[in-house]
Amino acid sequence: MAEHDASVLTLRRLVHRFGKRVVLDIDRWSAAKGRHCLIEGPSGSGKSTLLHLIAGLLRPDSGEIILEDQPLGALSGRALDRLRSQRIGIILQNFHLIEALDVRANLRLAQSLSGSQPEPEVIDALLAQLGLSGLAQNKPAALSQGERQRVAIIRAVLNRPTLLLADEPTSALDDRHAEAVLKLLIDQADAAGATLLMATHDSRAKAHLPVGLKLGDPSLRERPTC
Amino acid sequence: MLIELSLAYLRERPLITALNTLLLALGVGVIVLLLLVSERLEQRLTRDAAGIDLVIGAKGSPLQLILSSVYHVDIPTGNIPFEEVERWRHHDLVEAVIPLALGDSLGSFRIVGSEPAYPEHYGAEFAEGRYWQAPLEAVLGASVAAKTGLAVGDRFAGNHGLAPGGPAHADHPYTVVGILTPTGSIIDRLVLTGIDSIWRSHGLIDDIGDGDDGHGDAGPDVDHHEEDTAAEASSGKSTLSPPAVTALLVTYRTPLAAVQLPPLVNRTPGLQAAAPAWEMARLLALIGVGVNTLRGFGLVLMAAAALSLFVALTTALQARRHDLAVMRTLGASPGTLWRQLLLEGALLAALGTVLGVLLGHVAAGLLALVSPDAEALGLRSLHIRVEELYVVALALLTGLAAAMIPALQAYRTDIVRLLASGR
Repeated sequence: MAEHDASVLTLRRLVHRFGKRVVLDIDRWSAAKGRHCLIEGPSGSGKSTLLHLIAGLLRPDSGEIILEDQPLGALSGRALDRLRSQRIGIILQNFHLIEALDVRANLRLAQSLSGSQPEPEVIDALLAQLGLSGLAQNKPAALSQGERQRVAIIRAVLNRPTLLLADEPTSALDDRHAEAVLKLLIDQADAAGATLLMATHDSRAKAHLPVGLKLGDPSLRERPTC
Repeated sequence: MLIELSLAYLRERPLITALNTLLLALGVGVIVLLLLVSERLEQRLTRDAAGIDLVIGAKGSPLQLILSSVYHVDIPTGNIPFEEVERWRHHDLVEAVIPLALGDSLGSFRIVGSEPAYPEHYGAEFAEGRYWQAPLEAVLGASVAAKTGLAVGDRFAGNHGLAPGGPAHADHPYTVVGILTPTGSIIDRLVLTGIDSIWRSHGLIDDIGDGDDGHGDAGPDVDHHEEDTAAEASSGKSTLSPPAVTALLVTYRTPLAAVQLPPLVNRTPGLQAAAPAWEMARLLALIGVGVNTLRGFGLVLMAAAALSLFVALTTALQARRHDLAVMRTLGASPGTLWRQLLLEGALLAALGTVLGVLLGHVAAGLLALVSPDAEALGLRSLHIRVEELYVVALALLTGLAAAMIPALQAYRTDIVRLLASGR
């Protein structure tokens, strides 16, 4: 029980296959609240699949995923969508924004999909904090790569999620951008009160965050907690 | 927010949105215009023939007889002796007879020799002036007065023949003595006068005092006869030979007359009877073929619009698959993505429909401006038909149907595979 109190995420006997191939097999693992960490492993080791399972975009073949005290397996598809919109922030590698909408509308969309009341002041504050106030009316096409990344990060933390999941956010970036994104992710996760779990095989990330889970290496069984 | 997103997507590809909207608008516009025109046509045909049970005229095509004497669009089948007026007027089966004498026109308007009972049959009243009392006095229908600008007291020369541009009867000018209020019927487009005026303008009667006695044996003078023959060659059998009328509009006294009177008339040498209701049904059936063809054309346009919308949304979906993935990671349910696509289709359909209805009405207005025939039908751009609601509903449903398959594709998007491959 002591383990539960501090855990933001608990995995138990989690197994997932694609066809007959087992892509993920985690006996027991939990992440402590507020302790950001890396999920490491080479390509194809199941990092993305694990994030998709945690985000409720995918259901495991067996085992349990518990977000704080909520077992995801007990939830319907709609309830999973709602939970994801309110308690999980996701950052994809390509920092994809919706090109048809301007920056502010991209952020309002995230608020709206979570079912919360529009809070323009929250959006404005975050935009100002990340130096994007002047770009709020711009379409994503007019933004630089760095600016797009910042908007995508704001979008992920906007609803103050419990978990912030990032899938290879730095692997396509040069050193300078990778550094900036890492710092930003950590700062924003802290500010939003979220626990950051970052799937990566990018060694530059290790300078900033501890490795919490190592996938795809049978000789190195994962440590039981982050 | 979904509406805002859908509008943003539509704005993102203005050309494709505009083309799809236009395609749907054209389809809707054609059908709305058809509705407006065919309704006015039917109303007009019904109104003009109301209360006229039978038309008696010279032998020929019954449809032509109805068209020429009830609707004043075709040339008459010929003339019948004036004696027939009194003969049928006093027949037991007949309630009333209105004689008509045709032969002249004023521009594109016909000059009709008749009796006050004729305008009264259509409920016409005087805006000013009075009925004709002497020969060559004329009463103008409301449209004639408006179009020609003639006022009470003005004089004008009728043209010989029913087609515009015939030789003018400059030696027998008419004097306007009255102008009628609009009735929404054929009366609005006629110049009315006494039957003897027609005879007089054709030189059949020379002496004004002779006017009421239609049986006059004044022979046709040679000069006018030549003119008549020339006009006959160009506009058909439209001229009057010695005291005669062109047609009789008959109202039955009893329903029995519908059975007994037509055979009786048809047995009379040189006469035929035609029932407006019957001929009108034939005419509408003929028009119906054309209307249905055009309606089919409009439906094909709408189907093409649906197909085009389907293609546009399907390709858009392909381009936006990362948007779908992001929206799912933000917590959008598959149902939300489905609704967004449907909303996009519905918005475009609504835009096209509104534009199409406007287009149809503007086209009706333009048609009335450009074509005197359409104007004569009383075609108005602001007149709205209830049936247009069906067209609107059909167009909206078409848009929704076209969006349905792309929407289902959005619903079924395999988000995980997309995220795995979509870097």
